[in-house]
Amino acid sequence: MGSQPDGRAKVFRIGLLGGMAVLAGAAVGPAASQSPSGTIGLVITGWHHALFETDDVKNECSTGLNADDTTNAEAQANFQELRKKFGHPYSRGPNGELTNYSPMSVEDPIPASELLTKVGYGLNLDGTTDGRATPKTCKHEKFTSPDGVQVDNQLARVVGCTKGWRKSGFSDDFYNEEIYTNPVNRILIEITGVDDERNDPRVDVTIYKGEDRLARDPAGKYIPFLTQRIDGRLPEYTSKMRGRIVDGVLITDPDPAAVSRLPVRWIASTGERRIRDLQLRLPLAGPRPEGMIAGYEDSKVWWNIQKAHHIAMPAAQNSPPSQYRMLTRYADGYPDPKTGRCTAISAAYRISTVRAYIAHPTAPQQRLAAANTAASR
Amino acid sequence: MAATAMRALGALLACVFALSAAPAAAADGQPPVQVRETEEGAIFTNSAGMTLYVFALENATPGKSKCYDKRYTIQSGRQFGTIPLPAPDTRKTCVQKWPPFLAAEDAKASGDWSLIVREGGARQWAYQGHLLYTSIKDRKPGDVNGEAINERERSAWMAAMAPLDFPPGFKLLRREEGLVLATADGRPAYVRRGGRLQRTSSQFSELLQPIAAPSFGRISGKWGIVDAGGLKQYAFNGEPLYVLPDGYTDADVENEGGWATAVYRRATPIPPQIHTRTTIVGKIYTTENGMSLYSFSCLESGAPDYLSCDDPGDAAVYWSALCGDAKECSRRWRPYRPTANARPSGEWTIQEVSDPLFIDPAGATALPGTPKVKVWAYRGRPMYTFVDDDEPGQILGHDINYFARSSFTAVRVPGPGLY
Repeated sequence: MGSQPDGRAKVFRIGLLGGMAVLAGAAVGPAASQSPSGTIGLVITGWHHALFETDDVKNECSTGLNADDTTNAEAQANFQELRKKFGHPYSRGPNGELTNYSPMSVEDPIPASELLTKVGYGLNLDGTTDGRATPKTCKHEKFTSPDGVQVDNQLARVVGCTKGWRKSGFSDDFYNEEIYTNPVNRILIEITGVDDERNDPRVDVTIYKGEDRLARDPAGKYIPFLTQRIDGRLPEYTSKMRGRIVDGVLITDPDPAAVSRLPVRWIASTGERRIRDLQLRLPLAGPRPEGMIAGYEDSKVWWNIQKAHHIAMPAAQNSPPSQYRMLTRYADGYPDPKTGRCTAISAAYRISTVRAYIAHPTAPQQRLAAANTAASR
Repeated sequence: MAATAMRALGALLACVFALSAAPAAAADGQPPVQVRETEEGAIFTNSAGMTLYVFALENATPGKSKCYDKRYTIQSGRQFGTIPLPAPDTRKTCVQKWPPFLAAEDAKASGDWSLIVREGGARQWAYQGHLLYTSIKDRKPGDVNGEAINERERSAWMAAMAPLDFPPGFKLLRREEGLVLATADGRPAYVRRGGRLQRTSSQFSELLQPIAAPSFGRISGKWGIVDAGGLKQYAFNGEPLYVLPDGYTDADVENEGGWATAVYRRATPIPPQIHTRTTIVGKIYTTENGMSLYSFSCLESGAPDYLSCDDPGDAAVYWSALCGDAKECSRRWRPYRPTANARPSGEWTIQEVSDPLFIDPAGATALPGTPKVKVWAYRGRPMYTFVDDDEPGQILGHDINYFARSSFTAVRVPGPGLY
């Protein structure tokens, strides 16, 4: 563990070193395993459902891709009647309900496609190898990761056969572009107390909401080692974790008492994720580390951020009635003490990051320097 | 950088002032209008003090009204083709929602004020070629409820603003503290306050820069020009004005310390039962317990008259599409009730709303005889809390919307957004 007594002073020094490196046109990637500053800053640049996908979707999904909301609406016997009565083709419920806000108001006439593959990505969140019920989980089926580990990622069963969330799908592409374009999606990861970037038995990890934009080079790659300011106006989006670095991979431990809140801006709609037992697995080498973030995602809050999907449903190709029922059925975390039904769902995401200098709002000189940087971009 | 900013701003502002007087109430055939100071700024009203509006859809056809007394029954959209409008029998016409500001028989055009003959022969007042209307959303003199309170409303109606006696290059910004002086590109003006600067000038040049004024020209009223070490600088109420360079935000000013925005008209305090809170969607109004407050808005964007559909008596499906039947809508969206001793303040009023809001989702809202409850309203919009919000500051009800039609939106405090 690092011995720096003053984190702020430490961060400022990194900023100076980085600035000199850029001015000198030097290579900016950390070449050595030593992290002389004791701090590693990262900003998330990509976020995708961790799905195991083959070239042919029928290898994974029972009937291929799911039918979308419009297709299901047109297959409803009362489609024309509803359209005439309520004036909108997406009003599928008996009271004209949109299905994303009232998914239980109607059933999809076209059965949903089920994710059948046994192979999947994720982390072992419940600590079991068979997915049996525990005090904080409901019984569920595990995936086997490509390297043979039993992992949890029930959210993959909810979105895995929806075209929009698969590779190059509309929803995935749109969200990742909004990570670039909208500072609401700015999520910073700061690793402190780093003595050795290859192996360190104890580091502290903090996730912050940032406020700055990202920058890409002409080739479309995110530029590393730019300053990212913490958004001091929104401290509720700060999460602290303990972890370690093993063979260059950051491994964090879940905090059973914490609910991590992460901001989301997607298709002109702003919301958040709430994740319990949040964990990171992140190989740290190079300027653009890629890894995994996982935990139990609050089902109600997750469904809420899907609301933008009704605007994009034709492109996203999802149908809320089926998807909501899957979310309820596959939820495997944090059972409600009264009903016994799980209120959260295991989830895993592939994340891309780029190294950054994280400026704390309590450091006014650095904040001004960062503002200058932001203004010049 | 200071000199560059000064030169740029000086060029922007350097010209002789051409002061224009706001028209006062007139008689003998002149337009019966008044100028009224509101939280939105100085606006034209009719003789009863009701706000006058212009319709942006008429900008392309100056002098010709696009607001008719015609009840449309069909809408069309790029995605869905031509389909019936809901509840067509009770749908109001544009003229019912936006009564034209008609002229008396002896009215005469004068200056910027002209008279347009409507279909049917009635004459309507226009200001600088823009036809003028009142709004059924306004209930009392000084209300400006016909203007949108958020971008989701996408209203094409705007209050008819009276000209300001300002030097060129200045305008007003609506912020939480009130109407604030701003440069033409939207940057708020600041004045010094007593606080000690946190940085010393030996380390950096000052962050805020004087707003440069021309060295010639006339200035009047509360405006002035002072000497800023060889440069001329604008002042208001005797206080020199400053502005942030591009790329800096309110947070930078807060860090700097010792500055306040130049307030032109201070906002009326909000009622004690209304609080504010910064959330991921910006600073919003909340209940006294911190729960987010939402407004319902609606626009029939596919209809030729582009009418709002959030007034009492409009189609109920715009609600039911978002929340189900009447009982479920009442469960999800709870009117924020005023306490027994609550009093209106500024743009916050106490209204009565139907609860449940509708009976038949294919019919209209607020049918006569339905039970009513008192509710806080902001600029005429009833305030609701959302059932899924479990804790202060949660905004799960924000942006629940029906395509380009109805929407529940967290109600933002006026001012800059987060980003």
